[in-house]
Amino acid sequence: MNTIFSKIFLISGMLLLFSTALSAQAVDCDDEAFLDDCAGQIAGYKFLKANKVSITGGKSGQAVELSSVFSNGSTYTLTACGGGQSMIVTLYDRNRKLIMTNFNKQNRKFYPSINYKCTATGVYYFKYEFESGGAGCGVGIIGFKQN
Amino acid sequence: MKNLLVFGLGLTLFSCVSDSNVDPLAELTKTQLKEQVQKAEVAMSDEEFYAHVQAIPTPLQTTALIQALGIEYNESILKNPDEGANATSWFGQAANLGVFGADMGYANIYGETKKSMDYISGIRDLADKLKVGQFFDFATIKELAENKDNLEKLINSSQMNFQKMNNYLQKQDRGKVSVAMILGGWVEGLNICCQISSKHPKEQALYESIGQQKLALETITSLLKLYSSDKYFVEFKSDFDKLVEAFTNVQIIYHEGVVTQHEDAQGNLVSEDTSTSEIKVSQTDVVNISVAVGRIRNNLVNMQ
Repeated sequence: MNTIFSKIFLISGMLLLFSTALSAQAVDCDDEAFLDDCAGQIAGYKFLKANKVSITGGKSGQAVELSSVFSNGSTYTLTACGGGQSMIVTLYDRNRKLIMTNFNKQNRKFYPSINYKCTATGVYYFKYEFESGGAGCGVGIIGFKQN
Repeated sequence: MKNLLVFGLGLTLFSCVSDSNVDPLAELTKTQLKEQVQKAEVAMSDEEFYAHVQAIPTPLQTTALIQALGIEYNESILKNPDEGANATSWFGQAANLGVFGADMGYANIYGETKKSMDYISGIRDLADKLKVGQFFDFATIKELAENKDNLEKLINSSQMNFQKMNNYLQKQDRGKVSVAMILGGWVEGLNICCQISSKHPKEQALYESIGQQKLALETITSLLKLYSSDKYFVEFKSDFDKLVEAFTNVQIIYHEGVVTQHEDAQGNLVSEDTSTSEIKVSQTDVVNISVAVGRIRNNLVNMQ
């Protein structure tokens, strides 16, 4: 009987450790402190938007697309805060023409932020994805300043 | 041994449930649940809804432009903070929360921190009534407002707090409250720009700032359709349609250019673009837009 109890206890303990390990790995992207930390990355710019990015499921190549109006005469900064994962942000213009990305695939370099000097007022699109191509959560902060 | 087993199972169970969220609707009254928690009437995924909400321009860009043009601060065009939280309906509370947010942003941009503090109490009242006051960090905002060296932090923290309130409303399926709040802010931002433009009619940049709001009209229209049978949205839409009409002749013309990139001294990537845009908006357009947005704004700030 004691052996059965010991086994049950051991399995329970393992389950506990496993669930604790999972919680430690995952960052809560809804957490207020996480948002504040990410927003702190736009020093010198005024806060415009915090785009929450949540990609679930196991499919690869998933991305989230959001948009905003950018104005001629302002410079915008975009950061990607991936909560432990490498998050890619790519900026497109109104015709979805690629402008820039924070990840250089050739040399696998991530830029801490990308800055765009806007000269044409319009709707701009941001594609957020994770380097792994899979699931993850994070926040994309956009700041601006007048030129 | 039995106790040990119970302890082990209990601990496991606790670890499985400890991460689950507390019911976000628990703090709402029955009336709030009935009136404000509503799925959209038109099929739109949560992700699409979020994308629409995030696409609406914030008033801060407009007010920052006005300040950058060297135009003096004008308190008379803002909502009186002392007439703060009169609204009793959820729509009035949410829309006026947005109006106050825009006015506080305008005051903050000019470093009018004393005025900004006057708005804080109105924001606190309305946010508490809507049960989102916990996401507005009043103590930090007050602390930042007391020192003008913290202006950038004050501006950013205030904006961030509004973003947090919005996120929470959407999490609670109170998307229509979130939309009302964003519309209040957008309307107030446009109204501020129109009012300032009427006093500085030669300032072309203000015309363009007004004209570029045409880019938001389609998104707002889509959001209004989501709650087309709600009496408050019906009333808002009736006035909003007149505003859309006032924008009819506004044109945005693009000239394609070339994008170049370089790294700055801090190692950030910088893109420069030679593309340009022309926003064609006449004085008559601006007058028509001012009248239409003024009507909406007055209805919102006087709403019960």
